Amino acid sequence: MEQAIHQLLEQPGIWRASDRHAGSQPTAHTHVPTGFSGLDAVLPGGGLPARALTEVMHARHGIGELQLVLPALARLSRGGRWVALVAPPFIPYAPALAASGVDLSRMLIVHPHNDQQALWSIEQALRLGTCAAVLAWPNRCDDRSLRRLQLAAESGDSLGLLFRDTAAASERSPAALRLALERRQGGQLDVQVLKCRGIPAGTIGLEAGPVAPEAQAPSLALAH
Amino acid sequence: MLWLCLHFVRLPIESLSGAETAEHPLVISHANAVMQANAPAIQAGIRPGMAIAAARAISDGLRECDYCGDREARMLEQLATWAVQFTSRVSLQPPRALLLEIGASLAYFDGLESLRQGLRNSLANIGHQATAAIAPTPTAAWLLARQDDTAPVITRAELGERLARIPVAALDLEPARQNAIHGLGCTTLGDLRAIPADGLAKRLGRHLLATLQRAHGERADPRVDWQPPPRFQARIELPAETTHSDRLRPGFEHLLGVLCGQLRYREAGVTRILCELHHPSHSPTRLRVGMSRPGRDPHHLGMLLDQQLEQCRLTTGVIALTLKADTFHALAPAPRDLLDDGQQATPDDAWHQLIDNLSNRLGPDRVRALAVDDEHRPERAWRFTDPGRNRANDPPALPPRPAWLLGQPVRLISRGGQPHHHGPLILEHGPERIESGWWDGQDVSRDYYQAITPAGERLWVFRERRGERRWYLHGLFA
Repeated sequence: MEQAIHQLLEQPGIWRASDRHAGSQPTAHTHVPTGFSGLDAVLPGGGLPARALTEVMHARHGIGELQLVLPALARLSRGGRWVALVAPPFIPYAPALAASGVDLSRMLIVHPHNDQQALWSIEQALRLGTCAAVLAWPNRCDDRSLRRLQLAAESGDSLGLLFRDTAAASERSPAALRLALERRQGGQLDVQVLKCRGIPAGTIGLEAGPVAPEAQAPSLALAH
Repeated sequence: MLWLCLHFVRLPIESLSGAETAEHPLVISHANAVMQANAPAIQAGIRPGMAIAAARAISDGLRECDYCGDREARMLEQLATWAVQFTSRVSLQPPRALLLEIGASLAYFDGLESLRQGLRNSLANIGHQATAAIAPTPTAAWLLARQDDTAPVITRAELGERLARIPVAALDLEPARQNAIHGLGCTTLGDLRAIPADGLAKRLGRHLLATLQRAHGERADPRVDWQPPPRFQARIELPAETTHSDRLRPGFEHLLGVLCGQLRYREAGVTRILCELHHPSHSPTRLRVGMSRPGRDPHHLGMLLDQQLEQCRLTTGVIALTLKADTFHALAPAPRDLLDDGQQATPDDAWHQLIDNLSNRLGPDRVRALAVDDEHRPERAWRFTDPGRNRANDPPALPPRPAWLLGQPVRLISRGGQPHHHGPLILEHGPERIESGWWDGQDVSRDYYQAITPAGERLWVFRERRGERRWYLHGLFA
């Protein structure tokens, strides 16, 4: 019986909230720094988990949700693999992406017809191991599909970033990291860590500076 | 020269897709008798030659398909097209055999055993079985294959002895001549060879003498090399109408195997194939498979086709399948790809696989890449391109641009000159004047601003500089 439980716990799809470092020690290879030092300092491994699902919850578009991940994307797009955007809500504007350092020749934009196709496309992109990161804007996502995506991210060694409405924060999710974004009066972006592997249960409020952290993305610095 | 004869013993039944591996008993009938039976039928006790009425009596639900000589002939031609990947010299030996001149290809295949292994694997993949015999003359190889004698004869010295053992029946003569030979007391080719040539020709005809001489290499035995058609189109029939896509798979495996055999011979690949599912009374259902770069891997093509099959809901039965490929693209020969089916996948392969999977499921216009264009009008400063075709551009030096652009600028309401969107907007930066496009009639004259809503959304808005000077939302600084 005990052996069976151990076998179960060794499955990559299972993590225990009590584990500070489930499996291997977090290293630079398994985490992708966001480039925002305030956030990276709090996240275990110093960044977004590289082979897992991260959910970014925000109530409105245009509050800095891409800003948060663009420095990481710029770096990943220059690392030999591709970056896929699945079901983006607007046109990803090429001049802005290029200006923030993203290599456009490594970008793939996927426009599925419906929710089912969207989930399928995200899973394909994560699983095949050819994308360093997959950003997706799925309409609906239940616990079971999220679990599939989480496993796909692990087997494809891919960073999965799901952008979802704040309402999804109350749903169960197997994602390794869940962040909620809110723009405060005065231009400050609040990043709230709702769930994070390696951080004991409970949430940590975090304020990330609204300025671009790296020289790579100066033109997208948010004004005060 | 060395000849390899492939004798397709099961060709009548293999000419119908999936008949051999069907779960239910099935026979090919000819002149009210069983010609060939599949494994479940044999298990039920049905034997070739049995009257069809007797076969029906011992097997419930027996399916019968009439023998069709044309169908078998078409299948043999398809197999010849498949076989050209092993040697360019393939000839038909109707009704059920192919002759391959392999002397020239042995070195390429690392010897005989590895070539035979390659043939066996490739045949298994396309769902056929054959007896393979090898001899220095095509006629000898054919005779040995019909006798199921697969031990290769490599030199002429061994040839006489091996042919001498072959029974006369292997010659496939008409009954009258067969009886005449028995009358002479001959049972093997060795016995016939013992008769002086003149006497043999006089009693049994010049044709028989010529066949024996060809087998022994004493007479020229010219063969016409099979020329695969310049465009690929192959059809296979199903033993019974079906709406199960699973039942279509063996047929497509065969057709894709034949196509890819020809592609290897031509050192080419395809980017597009068209599959037709034929119905008894409707026009065919068409499935199109596209790939982002030319390929000839039957597994990859099969997988893409499977995705299409999964999506198409068959409401009417399918009775036959056609595979078509019009355009062949030159493709560098992958070293040793003839025998290595498990090729090493490169990261580039995985990338193309992803593009192909997505494009086939969603449609090619749904899987795009981005490029920057040197244009002042924001809506024309970018475009979609085909993935993998775009180059990294140096970004033009511009004031900050939003990460999200709206497909069409959205008109904003304005109160007292102040634009509103989720509340009154505060203009933080600007204006950036963009005036351009007078030459193509799509000219714009706008003042762009970065604006912020009360909820904290950062917007890219502009005000027309002409006419009513209306405000528009054009992008979001996400």
